[in-house]
Amino acid sequence: MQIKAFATCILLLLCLWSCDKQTNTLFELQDNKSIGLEFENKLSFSNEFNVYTYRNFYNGGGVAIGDINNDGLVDIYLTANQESNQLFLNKGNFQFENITETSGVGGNRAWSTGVTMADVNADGLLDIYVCNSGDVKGDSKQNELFINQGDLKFIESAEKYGLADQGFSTHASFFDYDKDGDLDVYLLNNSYQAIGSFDLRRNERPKRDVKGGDKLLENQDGIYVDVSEKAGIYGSVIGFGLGVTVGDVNNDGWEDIYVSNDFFERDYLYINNQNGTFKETLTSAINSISGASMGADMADINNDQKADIFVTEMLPSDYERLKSVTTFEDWDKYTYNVKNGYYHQYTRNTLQLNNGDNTFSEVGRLAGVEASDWSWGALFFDMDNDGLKDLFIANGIYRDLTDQDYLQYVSSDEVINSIVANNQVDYARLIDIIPSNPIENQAYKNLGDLNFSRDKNLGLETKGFSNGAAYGDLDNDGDLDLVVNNVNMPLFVYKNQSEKNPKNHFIQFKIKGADKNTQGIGAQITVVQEGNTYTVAQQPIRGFQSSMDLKPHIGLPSASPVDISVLWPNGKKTALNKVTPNTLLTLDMATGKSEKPTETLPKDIVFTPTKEGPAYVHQENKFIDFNRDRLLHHMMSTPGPKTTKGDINGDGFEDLIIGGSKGNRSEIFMADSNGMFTVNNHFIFNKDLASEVTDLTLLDIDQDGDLDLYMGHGGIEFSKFSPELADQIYLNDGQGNFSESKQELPTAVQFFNTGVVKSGDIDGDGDIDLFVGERSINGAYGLPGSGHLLVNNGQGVFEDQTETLAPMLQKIGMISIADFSDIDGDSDLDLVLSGEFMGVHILLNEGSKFTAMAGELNQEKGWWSALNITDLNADGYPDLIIGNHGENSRFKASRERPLALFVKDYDENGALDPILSFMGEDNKYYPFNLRHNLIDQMKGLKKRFPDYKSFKNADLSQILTQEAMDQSLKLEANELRTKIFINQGGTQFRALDLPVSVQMAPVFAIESFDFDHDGDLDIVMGGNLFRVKPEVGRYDASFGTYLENKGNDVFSSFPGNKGFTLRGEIRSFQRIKNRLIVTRNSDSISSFKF
Amino acid sequence: MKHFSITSLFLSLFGLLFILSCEENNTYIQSLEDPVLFNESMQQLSDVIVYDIFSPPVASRVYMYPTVAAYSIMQQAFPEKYEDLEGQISGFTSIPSLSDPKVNPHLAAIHAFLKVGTALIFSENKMDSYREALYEKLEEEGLPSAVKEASLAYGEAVAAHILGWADTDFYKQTRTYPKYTIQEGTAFWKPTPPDYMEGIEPHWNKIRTLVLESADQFEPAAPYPVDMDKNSPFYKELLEVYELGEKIDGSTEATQIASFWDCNPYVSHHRGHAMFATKKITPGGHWIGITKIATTQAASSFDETVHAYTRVSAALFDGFISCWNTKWNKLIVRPETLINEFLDETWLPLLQTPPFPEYTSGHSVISRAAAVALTDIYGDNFAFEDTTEEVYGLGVRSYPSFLAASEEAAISRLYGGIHYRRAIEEGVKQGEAVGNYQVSKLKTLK
Repeated sequence: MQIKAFATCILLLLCLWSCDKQTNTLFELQDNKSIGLEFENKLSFSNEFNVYTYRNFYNGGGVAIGDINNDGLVDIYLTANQESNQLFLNKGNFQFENITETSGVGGNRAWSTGVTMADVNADGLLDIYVCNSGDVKGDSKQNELFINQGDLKFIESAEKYGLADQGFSTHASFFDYDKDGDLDVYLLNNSYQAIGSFDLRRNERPKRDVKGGDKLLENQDGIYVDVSEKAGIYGSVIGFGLGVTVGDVNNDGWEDIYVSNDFFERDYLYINNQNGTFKETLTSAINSISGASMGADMADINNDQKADIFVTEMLPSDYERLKSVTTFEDWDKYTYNVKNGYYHQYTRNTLQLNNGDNTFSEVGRLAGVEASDWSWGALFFDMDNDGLKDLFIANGIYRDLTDQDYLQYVSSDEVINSIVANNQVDYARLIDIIPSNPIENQAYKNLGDLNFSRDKNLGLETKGFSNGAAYGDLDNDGDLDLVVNNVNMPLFVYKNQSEKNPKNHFIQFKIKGADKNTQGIGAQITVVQEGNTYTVAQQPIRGFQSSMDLKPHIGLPSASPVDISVLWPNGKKTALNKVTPNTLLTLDMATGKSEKPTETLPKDIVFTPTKEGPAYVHQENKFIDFNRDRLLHHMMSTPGPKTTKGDINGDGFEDLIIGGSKGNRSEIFMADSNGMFTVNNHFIFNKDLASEVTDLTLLDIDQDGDLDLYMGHGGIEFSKFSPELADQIYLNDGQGNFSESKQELPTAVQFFNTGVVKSGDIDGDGDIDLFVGERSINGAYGLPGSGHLLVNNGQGVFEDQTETLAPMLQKIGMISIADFSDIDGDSDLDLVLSGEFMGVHILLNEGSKFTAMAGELNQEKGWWSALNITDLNADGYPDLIIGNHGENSRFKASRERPLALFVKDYDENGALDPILSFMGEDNKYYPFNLRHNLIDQMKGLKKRFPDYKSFKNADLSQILTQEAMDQSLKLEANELRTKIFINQGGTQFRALDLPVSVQMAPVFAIESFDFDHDGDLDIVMGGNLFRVKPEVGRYDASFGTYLENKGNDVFSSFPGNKGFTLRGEIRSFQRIKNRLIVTRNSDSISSFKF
Repeated sequence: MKHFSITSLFLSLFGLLFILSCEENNTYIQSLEDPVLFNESMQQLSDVIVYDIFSPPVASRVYMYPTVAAYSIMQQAFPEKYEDLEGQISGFTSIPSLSDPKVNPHLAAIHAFLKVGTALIFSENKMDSYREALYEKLEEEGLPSAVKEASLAYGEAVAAHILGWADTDFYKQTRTYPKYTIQEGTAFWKPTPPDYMEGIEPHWNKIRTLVLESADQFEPAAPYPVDMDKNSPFYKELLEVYELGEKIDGSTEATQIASFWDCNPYVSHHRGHAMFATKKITPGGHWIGITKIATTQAASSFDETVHAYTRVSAALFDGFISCWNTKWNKLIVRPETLINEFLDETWLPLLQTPPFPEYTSGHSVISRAAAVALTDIYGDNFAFEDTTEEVYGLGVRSYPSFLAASEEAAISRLYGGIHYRRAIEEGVKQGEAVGNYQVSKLKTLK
């Protein structure tokens, strides 16, 4: 009896819990039948018409939300590719009625794609423009324009308006680009031409395609006229447009255009020239883009009043799918594409953060939104009305076209069996066997600070084959509901239940336009509440093939009154103060007033670029690390140019020496009294031409009162037997003339790849000693290198005393950074060093020997790459500023889930196999490399994993065997963030919280100085790494970082970096007087005055 | 009672077995005598090579070692007929001698062949299931377990011996050598559309040769220097490829010839994001197929069949090393690259350009070497119908001789738009030299 009762209790509890769980999601998936919204985009293929004959066969349909009868309730139009499109009238209370038949909007064309609601004829009624495509051979693909007659009836009139375009249209965005008061249109067309018939070298971008091609059509008295060419719009056969997104990216009040292109063509960013033309600026504004770009959205994701851009691609987030449906371009192919003008494209979603200076930083990996599988419509909207725009991504492909087993094994067998005649293939048979796997849509909650967290509790992650999606307040309850169109599946309709949350606040706008722009398309609305600013634009065309509710919506964290300002498309402004939220507010363009442009405030600048710097352009020697070290993800051969400074000729001015790459000479720049630099035409460094300078330092080696030079040589491009690796000393004659020292250095006896050189008097005997760190063992990546302490005998002769002074330096790791500093305040020089897969080692100088300082820093295992030791808080103890890989990366690491490099010659072929892996949720290690990359390294694996299916969920112990794993050298990384460690009395260190902008890229150079002259030490950092395999993608989001010391261990960053902004791969800083001299790999030197 | 019944059942079963074995089923002997069995095993190896997508040079290695294993057992079985290869091919030592009278040499040869083959391919289960089905069938045909065990044990020992030899051919080490770094400059080979695959086997010349003394023993005459001057011999060759490509359409015999000898192990077809692949036998595989046709037509015995395959696979093996040495030293650019750059942006070769340098033509070299080997055995004017490509929908072609077939294989690369004429003509000479050298040096028949 008791047991029974208990069981009942449990059952009840379970029921309650599960019921609770059901209703706890923010969005609730509706039963389509009960709300009267039954729709499914059904596809059927034949041998003649299918995904092989029409490549966009599975791209799906779109959604348009708008109030077609001005009854205050938004209605829904849905495109079906092959069947009739459908219009549903909103009857209130979440009830809909299908009025397709009576309204006459079903459409007659072969294949419908995108849909746009816009008042094309400016009669105050929303018309419906449907894009058509798909009819490869026939001519039934003209777009259709359904003109609203006001009585729930529409008349198709595309021809009359000049909008019956014949191209393979994807979508259209109506806006007033020339501000003449009417709606023009950007028409996105996908190319006629077959992929595979293109020679990539023939870049067809500038050539207009007579049949298709993107078009800008100007509304000329109600007739749309093609002005593309005049306006500077590309419309070529390589335009594979899948998304057109319109918005003002440079805040000049004129709308710009982002076009996302599928396949090999890059995307376009058109900046409005304010004179009826556009300038395509993508390559100057953006560093990395999505490869096969699909949908896109533009919105201010961090409430800094600047429009950011998100583009979807196809990178799976699920491990098994990544390992079975994905391939990446190899380095050669990627390089080839870049060379031929297709730019830096990557297989992943990209999030372009607007820097406000016509540049963007790609932060998709930092935000955690780069992988969502085969993605289409992405939408930023504030799902939970907290003031931050969240992200929805619609995913799915009805057939896994890129399933690697299908491609490599199944299809070829089937092709052989299904050849009909004359080498013709029975496509229908082929398609039948392509796997079909529904995948989850993804919803990310915006947590602020560029942190997006995938949140299943939002209730939007239904599995399916989703394409177009649109949001709108379907029930006028102050939150945005969502409608998602699916291939071969019923529509998803999600009701937003934010209204149930008392913390939920919002303000919505009904826009009354003017002239022939009756919806006020292009209006920019800014809302200020409690000092926080929120922006939204009246621009319904977003995501993929879809059209949003035309009532702009802003979620708010509180109910306190808001100030509103509207910048209308005609340039006039309306301001409304102290408006109470939680209402639908009408904004009327007629209330707009002309305003004198507000005087721009003088910019708050610390750094000013100056041309008065050394004239030097670094050249990197051509070496492809991946051709030899196949499993590396990052090239190690581009650490330069490193620099050193010092007054070498005794004229009182600090001079600069720049280390050259292999084959390129190192240079001396002499400074004069005016702070100008002239190159010293010397020949002595010609001797080093065959070597690569990896670090260099000036020091008085022979105690003759001038600065001599220690030149560290290294580089992964040499074999470990290359004499080019030997370090070299140059002695100064006091006049700045160097001569080669004949001293055979301990570091030249056994060649090694020098990573870092630092000098200091470690034994307090008045002469300068050296630390030289070994970066890696060439040809054996992963094996630890050694640190060397070279003690000066007072005559300038060095002896390697590592074994007696600091034996722990032997085989300590892949050393990349080091410096001497008195860490513990006992007036002698301690040694700080670290590197790749290393903790931060502090070796305390005990007079006769060094001892390892115990503590946490040893456990901070990172890919440490830059070091600056300085007393930031002026407490007498030097602090560590230490650069790392950062967080804008495919690689993530934590104490709980470290990265691990397993090293061993697993297949016993004489070459080490370094396998970089991550720890999965199941606490097992999984490799980053794809199956074919691992097989390329270890051929035998193909026997144990004959197909992708067998490999896709294999963990490392299954791939390498547990025994081999146990015998491996295992290196770990558990911290990839750049950090500041505050030295607390020489015994403890405390890490500071740093602004997220610090983590946007790997850091390779750090300098600290009181740049703003306010009495405390500020910091500049620089980095980026471009030569990186396409599967991880280059690191290019940093334009340099300036951290201002605000006291109390607070360091702040600023948009625009107070003038210190520089594109490229920063490799070193030198501060000479009031100049910051910055070197970049494969680029010129830049100088800033401060 | 219970006991009794079981015992009696046993007894009667035993009796039945005895009676059955008295009516001795010996069909397995005929099966094992029949060269069809070896041909089928070779076909199985070919099929798995296709499935696993081996590149042409690596495929030649996968054919050679198993075949030498089978040959060596035939040599042990018929020492009066065949020469031991020790001292004749690099690094090879005689296999363990055949002493156990229970061994059926044909079964041992099949077993060694399949075992070595299985070690060299990837999809082991495909080989395993074939082998198991084969042995099951033989057992149904009366193969006594003692014979089976002895034969398999011997085959196994020989396979181990051969694999030990194969292990020292530098294949393993060459897997760790650098990939090819693309060179700037018009003259140098570049990856080609549509997949821009990396160059295949740039270090194949490091593989131990079989009969040749070195990879560069038969270097062909130098290619014409790449020169885009309209009067240069190179330019004329380039123009010939281009103009032929323009002239050839689906109906001409040249098209059929090019397709028939395409022998590209992996061709990908892109249709937007959708793709599919077609696979075919390699050029070497095609000549293995011709060997099957020849041995069948000549009614060769089991051991003669093995012998013919051995000569052909040896020729292919050395032929590929010789050719690949030339290719990766000369690094000549493919016609498609230059035609697209200088003559016609939209030009596509009839065949997909394979991913390695142009000079010399691999098909020309190895076809000639194989044809020389076959001519040596079966004589010139051995007319045959080539049905090798029928399974790939490419029909049947007839040839008056092996050499004629090799001539057509060679010129097919010009028709296919993937080679200049000189790479073909010099390639044929190179193959001829390799083939003749093997004929003169490699003594197999007593």
